[in-house]
Formats: sequence, C-alpha cells, structure tokens
Amino acid sequence: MPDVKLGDGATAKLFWGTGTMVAVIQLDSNATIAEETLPADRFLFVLKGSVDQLIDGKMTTLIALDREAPDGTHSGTPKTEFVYLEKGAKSALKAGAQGAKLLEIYSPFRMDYLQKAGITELPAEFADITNPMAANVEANKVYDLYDFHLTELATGAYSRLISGKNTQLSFISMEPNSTFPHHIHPEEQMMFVMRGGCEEILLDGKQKMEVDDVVRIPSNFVHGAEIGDLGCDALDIFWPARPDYLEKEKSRLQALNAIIPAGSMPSLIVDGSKTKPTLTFSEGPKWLNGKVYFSNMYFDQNWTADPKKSSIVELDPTGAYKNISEGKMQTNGLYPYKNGNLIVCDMIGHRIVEMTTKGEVVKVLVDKFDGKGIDGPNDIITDAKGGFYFTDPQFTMEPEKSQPGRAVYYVTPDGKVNRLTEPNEFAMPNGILLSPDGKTLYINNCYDNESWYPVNSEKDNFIWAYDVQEDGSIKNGRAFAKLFLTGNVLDRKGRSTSADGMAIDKQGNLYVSTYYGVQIFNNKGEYVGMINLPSFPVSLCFGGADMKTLFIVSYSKVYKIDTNMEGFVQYL
Amino acid sequence: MTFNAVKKPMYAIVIFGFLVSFLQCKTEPKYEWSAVNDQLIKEHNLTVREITGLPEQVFESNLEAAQVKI
Repeated sequence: MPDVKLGDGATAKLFWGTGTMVAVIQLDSNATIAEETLPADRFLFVLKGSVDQLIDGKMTTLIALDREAPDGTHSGTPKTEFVYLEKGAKSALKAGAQGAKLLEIYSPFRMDYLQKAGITELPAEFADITNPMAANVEANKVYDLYDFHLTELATGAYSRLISGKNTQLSFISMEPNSTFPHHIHPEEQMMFVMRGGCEEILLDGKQKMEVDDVVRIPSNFVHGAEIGDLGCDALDIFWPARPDYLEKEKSRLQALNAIIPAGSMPSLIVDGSKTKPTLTFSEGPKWLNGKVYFSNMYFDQNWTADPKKSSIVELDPTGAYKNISEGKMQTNGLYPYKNGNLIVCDMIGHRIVEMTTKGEVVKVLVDKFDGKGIDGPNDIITDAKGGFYFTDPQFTMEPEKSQPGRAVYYVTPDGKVNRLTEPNEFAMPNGILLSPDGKTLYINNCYDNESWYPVNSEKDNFIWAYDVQEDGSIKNGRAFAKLFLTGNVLDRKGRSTSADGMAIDKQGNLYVSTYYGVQIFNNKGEYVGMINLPSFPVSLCFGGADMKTLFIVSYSKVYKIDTNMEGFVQYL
Repeated sequence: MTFNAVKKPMYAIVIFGFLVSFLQCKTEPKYEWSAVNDQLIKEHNLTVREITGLPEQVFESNLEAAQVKI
C-alpha cells in the first residue's frame, strides 16, 4: 500500500472496507495535525511512542509502552492507550519527542483521507448504519487496551473487544497451532496481523498471513484459519459490530465481576523504591494477625542474590511497613504456621525454618533430603494435619546443586521428608497451593522450553492438579488450567509464564501471579479474568479484616485490590 | 409508464423480470467467488444470516475481497 501524506511529518497507510476505514499513521517527532472537526466516529490507538490529543478542549497525553524484558530489579508490562471520539468532536494531535505510530479507525469514512489517497469519484456524503449498537466504551475517555478483559471467542481464541456504535475492534490472540474451521458471519471483517502468523482459509484455498498483512472478508464469506507455531495476534475489525461477541463479553464480565467488582482496580500502597526500608524484589506475602508478611529479596540485574541486602517485612494494611529481619537470609515463600509463627523458605540458605513474627528463628524444619542438602525452597503450603509441601526449583547461586533436579516435597507432621515429583519432572516448580478441602494440590511451572533455561519438561504453561492421599502423597496429576503466554515468549516458542505465587479463595478460585498479570481461574480450571499491573506480579495473598482484599507484590511495589471473595488460608 | 401497462402480458413479464433481477442484485450481490462460496456453505452446513440497517449505497473497498495484502 502506498504512503499517503496527511501533513508535514505525518504519513499513513490507508485501507478501508465497506463501512470502516483504517489509517496506520506515522508521526515524526513533534509533528502536529491541526485542530479539526471529526467527520466520523474515530478510535485512536497509540501503537508506539506518545501523542498529545485534544479531548474535550484539553490536550491529553496518550502513550504506548512495549513489554520490558524482566531482570532482577525491574520489569514493565505493555500499555496501549486509546480514545474514542464521536463525529463532530474537535481533534488535534501533537506527537511526542520520539514520534508516534497511531492506528485510527473511522466509521464511516473520512472524505479528505480518500481525497489525499487520490480517490476522485467520491459520493457527496457517506451514509452510516441506521441501527447502531451501544458502544462498550465512553467517548472522550482514555483507556489502556490491556485493562480490557480477554473474552473467549472460540477454543484457543481470546480477544479484547472494543465496540463503537457502528464498528467493532477485536484484538484477538490465537494459540499456536490452533485451527478455526470454515465459518461465516454476516458482518464484514478486516483482519490485520500484529504478531505471529497464520494460514488464512479463504473459500477452498489458503493464504499465508504475516505481520502487517491485511485481508478483507466480505459478509457471509466462507473462511477460517490455521494458526502457526508462534500463535497469531490480530486486529479484526467488524462492520457492523458483532452482537454475538458482545454477548460473550458480557458473560465473561459477569463471571469476573462476581469475583472482582466492576471498576475495582489495583491501588499502589507501597513504592519501596521511594520509601525505607528499600524494597527490591518482594515475594511470598501472607496474612497473619492483621499484617502482611513478605520477603524482600535482593537481586541485582543478573539475578545474583545477596542475603545481606535482603529482609523480611511486616506490612500494615495502611501501607506502613518495617523489617522484622534483615541482612541474615534471603527468604522466599512464607506461610502462617503453628503458635502464631511463620514457616519460611530460606531459599539462599537451603533450608526451611519456623520463625516468629519478630524475626527470630525458632527451629530449622528441613535442610536435607536423602542425606543431602535441599537446594532452594521457593514456595510453601501447610495442610490441616500440620505437614507441609514445598517446591524446590533449585534457583540458587551455586552452579552445582545438591539434589538431582527440581522437585516438590512433602514433609509429614512428624518431620519425614518425601519427594513427590521426579527430579526435573517440572522444569521449574514454583507456586504451590492446597484446595480449601485439602484434597487437591496445585503446582505451577514457571519457566519451560527456553534456550536460556537448563531444563525442559512436559509441564509447559499449565497449573497441575493432584489428588492428595491420606498420607500426604499425591496421584492423578493432570493439567488443570492453561496460563496465557505473552507475545514475546510465544515469539521465541517458549512456554514460560513466570507463574509464581498463588492464592485461593474459599470457593476454590485460583489467583496466579504471571508475566501477563494476575490470572484468575475458577475451581474447574476455567479462565475467569486477569488483573493488569504496571510491572509483572510476583506473588499475592488474601488479607484485610474480611479477608477479601488481595495484596499483590511486584518488585519494589505492593498493590491491593478489593474482591468479592473471602480468601482461604490454612491457619493451624 | 402507467399502471395500465401491466395489463398487457408482454409488459408485465418484462416488469416482473426486472423486479426479480433488481431484488436479487440488491440482497444477494453475485461475485466471481459466490458460486464456490455457496457450495462451501452447503458443504460445511453453515447458516447464512443477513443484517438490516446497512447503508443503501456502499463505497468500494480498496482491499480486494479475500486477497491478502501487505
């Protein structure tokens, strides 16, 4: 498609269907588009850089952020801000210093864009549909696309749906190697590939689609897709909007809002990069006697640990916090234990200890299995009998490990240690939970299928469930819930979700910290929704007077969010 | 043309034929892919639905139907 000059420093690629026009605009640094009255409803998405947009008479900055590769000191989740302006609204634009890549979607068309594209035979005006639907966004309000929840449209296809009155945008992610058989719908579709690729089935043939490719599928045209091994993220633009999709979104939000109230967003209660004591990599929060206790692990950018710079923190729900132990050990998962104490994974010290809430070690509970030291106990959960389970993904500083592989262990109430999984059966067993009835053990797999990680397994991006036997052993392992993978991981064919700390409520809904955000599943393992955060969540716990608040730790920050669910904690 | 014209059989047939073809064009535009599409709809047991309230006149897309474009 040829570039169309929209103004000084502003070029666009234009394509349009029967009722919707798309402009992919490149703005140079500080380029401007003068104030104008919009001739049609318009969505404006910032795909790269930043832009000041006139909204309701005020210039407002919209930005795009790429996902940042995480290291030991920071991470960043992506952001794609957008605004919906209705026909007749005043608009003006100024690109940020780094310029901007914008996506504009109009319905119906802009006459001047068509003229600039060299189209000469134009009607006097463009008619709109006569029975518009209700938009699912408010005009003049800036949104982040990632705050929109993924709705399952078909098996293996999840989408963030943005609807205007006359057109609908479906930001869809289709799983690697999934297939969408021949189908039709009466709405016209323009599909614009944004990541990965597919073989698009068009009638009785197939055409390869890669990033930036576009295809128009007319009303009731037989089509489908075979998704490639990287998966495929695409923007599907439907004209008019699809009511069936809006119904699916409604069902999804009903299920989610039964757990997370509509409008409930995470709020920052601690930014430990600005307050003292400094927080670096927060982990393993647990609620005990009105406080949140968590580990403040120190890592440098290359994930080199330092117990001397680490601590264990007591956090008041108001946000006030203090160290109860510092410079002695680099701990990870915690859990309430007997006598009002904590059971603590001393990850870098290769042991599990019982500790008072003043930070005093009462005793060492485990430091050996099969006559050799354990490696790096990571997360831990007690059962009602007084035994406990822990994961050991061998995330320790020594190149030589004591045990033959990553594993999950059970320590009986009388202190006998049993290994429950074969060494390296999980590439990286990390978060661990018991169901409220104690009958099911959940284990997640943090990293898998990565060139930079030494172990591969068959556990991939799943939470695994096991039946718990009377003696604490487990059987009948099965893939319980499939965690979403981020685009950067899919691009390298990895299966790492960074699944880490998990929480569970009394109904058995699971809350899982991952690269993508907090992923929520019901007690059948079905996806419910996601909590989006500025950096990836590492762990979380229920707390608060009614046990309905989720406290989420992410590097130096602690967030909280209200829920409708009462968290479950096994207090002995 | 007056209403009386339809009393004449020849005119009536012509007018009827025109109306039928006009209505077919309006609700079921035929493209070169339509025959294959119809066949596949039958083969895959798909249900065609129509949408009301669309503009009478549509502007031609710059994307050829079902042709992937970069």
